[in-house]
Amino acid sequence: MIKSFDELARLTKERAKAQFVPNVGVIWPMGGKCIEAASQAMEDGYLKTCLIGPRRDIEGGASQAGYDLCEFKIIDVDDLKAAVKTAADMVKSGELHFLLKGNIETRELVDILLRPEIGFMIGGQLLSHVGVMQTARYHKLIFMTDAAVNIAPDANDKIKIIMNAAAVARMLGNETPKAALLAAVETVNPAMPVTMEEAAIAKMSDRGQIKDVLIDGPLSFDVAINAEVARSKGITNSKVAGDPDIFVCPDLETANALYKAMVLYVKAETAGIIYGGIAPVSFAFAVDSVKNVSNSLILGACLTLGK
Amino acid sequence: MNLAEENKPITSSEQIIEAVKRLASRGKKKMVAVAGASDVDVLGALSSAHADGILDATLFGDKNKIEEASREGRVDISHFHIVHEKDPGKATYGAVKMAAEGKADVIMKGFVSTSSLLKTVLSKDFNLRTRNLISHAAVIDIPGYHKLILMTDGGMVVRPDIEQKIQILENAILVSRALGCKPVKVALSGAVDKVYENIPRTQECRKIIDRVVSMNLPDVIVAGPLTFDAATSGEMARLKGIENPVAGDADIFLSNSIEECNIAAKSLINLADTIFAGVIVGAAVPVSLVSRTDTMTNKKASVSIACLIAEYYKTAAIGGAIR
Repeated sequence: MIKSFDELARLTKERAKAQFVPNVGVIWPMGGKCIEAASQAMEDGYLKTCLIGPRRDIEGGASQAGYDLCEFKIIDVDDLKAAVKTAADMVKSGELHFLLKGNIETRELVDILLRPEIGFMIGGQLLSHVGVMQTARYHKLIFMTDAAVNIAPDANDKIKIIMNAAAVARMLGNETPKAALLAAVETVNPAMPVTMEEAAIAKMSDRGQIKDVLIDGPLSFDVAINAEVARSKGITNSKVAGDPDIFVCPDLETANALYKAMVLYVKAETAGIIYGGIAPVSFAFAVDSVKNVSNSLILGACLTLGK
Repeated sequence: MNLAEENKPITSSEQIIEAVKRLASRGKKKMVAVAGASDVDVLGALSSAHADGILDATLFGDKNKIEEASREGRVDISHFHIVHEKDPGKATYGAVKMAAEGKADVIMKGFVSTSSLLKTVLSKDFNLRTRNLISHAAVIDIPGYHKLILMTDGGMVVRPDIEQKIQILENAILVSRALGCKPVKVALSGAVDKVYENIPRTQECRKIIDRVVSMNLPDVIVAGPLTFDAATSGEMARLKGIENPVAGDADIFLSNSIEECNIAAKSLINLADTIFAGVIVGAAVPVSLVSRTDTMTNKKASVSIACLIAEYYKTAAIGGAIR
């Protein structure tokens, strides 16, 4: 089980050497941190990069920032929707293995990815964001979801969100990840709809209706991350409390606020992925550093290469 | 250092405690009425705060159990007056009555249920109800943020509608004013920094801003939707091209749900050494509420900020104004 980004980078490089060097398509790579991160990854030899967007703007932005693009393939597309469509087509033809979100607003990209005519979605699948985090005080990687895609997921969506996060965790060597359904309290309370829905999902997990992932909830954040607090609050028979891999937030606002708090003040190192389509999309927020964008590329490459 | 007289805002948890000490040294020491005082953690916090000269307390509850708790926690409670009352309901009633009669400034929750305490506070027997609902304010001191930020509501109102958000906000503004914030900068939380058609809560922001503007609250600036990073980091606000006086400098972060506020605040408290002062506002008397898992610093901060709020209510006659 991978416990740090250093380990993830080492493993991904080894796999790239043994298998093949994945090809990433960067959608709308003007400015921002993606060129810097991608250059580094190419230098390190585990990634090939294709830039998709208006050539003039891409080259202008890069030369302004002092980057030489001669190692990059550029696909000249003027319109964002066309760029996403091109990227999806290139994934289907096998030219690209995964994608990276460039300098575009998250909502815009998500809205386009979900359109049927783009062909990025697979029937029955749900697109969701998984933020992988490494912190000084928690004993393993955190897979937080969903801070970017699903606005107000219902119970069915949440189960798919958990499955997506579990799939990502499994690719990082965690066969049976544990998922905490986060709430404000750890008591199931009919006056708090979130706790009722989470308890129902946990019950489904108990009955074996959701496979290959252990789920418990509702759990408050302190009970989720700290076994001692869990015991002091009377949560003694949970397989998840104190030790979750996956942190499931009830809605987009909650996940987003938590993600930002974790990056800005907990100083979490991150990697982000949008999962559930025909290929993973490496993803970073504005708040994420270049290192975090690099981590997202490594994660995308790792998911491409498999175990 | 005399922040209050210089009209400078209180920007850290140490300054909260300093400000209450200053009040006490001017003969405005606050009286705390504790409902159900047989609680080791509450007694510990009060005893430590009393030793600092911050406050006095009256303990309502079963005298034997209170003394037992003080022995168990090795806490000196000899300075506190005990009102013996075996029945928790009657102990709660006694503490609230003391506050309603003006003999106590702050109510503190001990070993009684929060809901029964708040029901008593809001009961028609007393004149403590205001026109606003009761909400929870978490004033937090985050290492890395240049001032205190009040996050609300992570403890009382589950999923506030627009009307409830306005009331939660009014309650929070009073706390920020008690801390000397002028102007009070309010960020309305969002998962994005723009209004989107398909994100209903970003649309709500517009309506809330319109309402707040029409209320003509002096020295209040409200903006939103703002993500937590845009609200609290000037660098992030600049990077995202957000230009308003709240971005990067928020005093209040008004959340969309109890989960959002509670989970984000707890991540900061548990993983980033954030000091947390929680208080229930919206009644004419602030209610301090600490939990077993709070550190001593957090407990003291909670009761201290309740004292500051009580003083503010008194001097600004706000307790009456929002009734």
